[in-house]
Amino acid sequence: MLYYKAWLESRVRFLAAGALLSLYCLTFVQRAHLDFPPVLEPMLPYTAHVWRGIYNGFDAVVFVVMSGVLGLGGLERERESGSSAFTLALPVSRLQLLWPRVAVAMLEMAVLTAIPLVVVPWASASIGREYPVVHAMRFATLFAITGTLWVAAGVLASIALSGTYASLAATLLAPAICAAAFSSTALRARPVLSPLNVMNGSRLPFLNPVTALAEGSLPWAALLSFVVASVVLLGIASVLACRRDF
Amino acid sequence: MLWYKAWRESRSRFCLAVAVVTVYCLTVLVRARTAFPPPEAPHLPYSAFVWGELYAPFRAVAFSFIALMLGLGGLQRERGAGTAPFTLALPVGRGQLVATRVLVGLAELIGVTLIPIVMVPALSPILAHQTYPASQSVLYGALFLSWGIVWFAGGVLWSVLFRGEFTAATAAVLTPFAYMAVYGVSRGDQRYPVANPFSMMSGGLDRSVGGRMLLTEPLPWNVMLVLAIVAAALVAGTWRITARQSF
Repeated sequence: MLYYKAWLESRVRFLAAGALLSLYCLTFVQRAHLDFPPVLEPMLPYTAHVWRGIYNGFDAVVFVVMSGVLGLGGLERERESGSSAFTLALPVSRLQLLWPRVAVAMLEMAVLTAIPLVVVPWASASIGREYPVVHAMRFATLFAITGTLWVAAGVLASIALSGTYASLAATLLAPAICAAAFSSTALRARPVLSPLNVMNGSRLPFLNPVTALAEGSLPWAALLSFVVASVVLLGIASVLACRRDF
Repeated sequence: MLWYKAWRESRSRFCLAVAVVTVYCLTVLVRARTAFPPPEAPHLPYSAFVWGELYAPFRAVAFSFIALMLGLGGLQRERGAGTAPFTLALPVGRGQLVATRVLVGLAELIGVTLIPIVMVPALSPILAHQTYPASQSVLYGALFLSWGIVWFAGGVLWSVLFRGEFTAATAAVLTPFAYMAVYGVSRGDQRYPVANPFSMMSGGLDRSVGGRMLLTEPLPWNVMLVLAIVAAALVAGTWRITARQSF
């Protein structure tokens, strides 16, 4: 029942993001039928075109933003709308309310990563091009693991900040702060630490610079550290949730 | 009192945006002291460095989010929280509530825009030992604001159309992406280059911007006027929808 409740609360966000990502991936690939190869780069491989438009473009930005937004919600929001007393009257602890919400958000985020995995190879085949499923799978894996970080940031913001819009603003600004930190500070020299670089291989050796396919070994150490960071953020969120006294 | 109410409802978003933009500008300027020019581009002009850090298209996207977030709120949100009857019991029309919220939000948006306009020319000589013309900051600020008010008005409109806070917020967040998706599908980059918000905000309409990324042509006043009209139409639509709502 708690999982169903979490689904009902987040489904509009998830479905809106899913619809937009599907539409974008489909139209981007269909447009390649007309505008690929670009006039200025006639030798550009199709896989690099897809990487620029999807894995390092619009799709990636929407995914990062919506992963954070999927993490929002919960008791603080219900407190504002006056329904938290009903939820807290259920015979479950606050942690039991929090973790189904986290699990549903993570699952929804994982489904979003599967959209380009399904749409890009299928739509590419429909226009007579080929995009290898294996590489789409590798990018989906990278998106899913780094996505846990954004979901966890959204969950933490929704608990730490009172006010739905304040937590939303914090969630939206988190990737921007991350991007700024990795472009404007000494961290620029360490792209492997940036989730925004790791998710699509930008400036990392595992990405083939010509074909833009994830051909090398994935940065498992960095991915593991992102998972640990997500667990830490969710741990802090759990502690904060338990300490609330409303 | 309505002004104070609108301020109280939006101040956390505004303060958060101000804090992030201020810290970011300071970071850029402090970094410029040691890391400018970058080793990979030793002849990069300081003005191009500032453009890349503050006025490039990705920064325009972040600013658009701030504008959209500042537009959210209002009666539908209060309806969801159960406080709308108290607000509606005040001896003011719904139009006054909308107008106050819009004006406070616009003032906050201008406030956020002013941060780099003031900080970069003023602090560049102190923190980065470089100079950046104040006139360029004002011009880029005006370009950011021209689309910023459209995004802001879009946020205001979504907030009166949807009762659920996250529904309005999701619609607002996805608005720039949906716009760019439609723009791409309709091959807008070839047919209507002036309608690309992030390109325009970054000075893309100035044909002689050059490698220094300094605007040399007059601002595209006709495009900015159209954008102001679009924003006004969105706000007018919001006003009318709010006045017709029956709760």
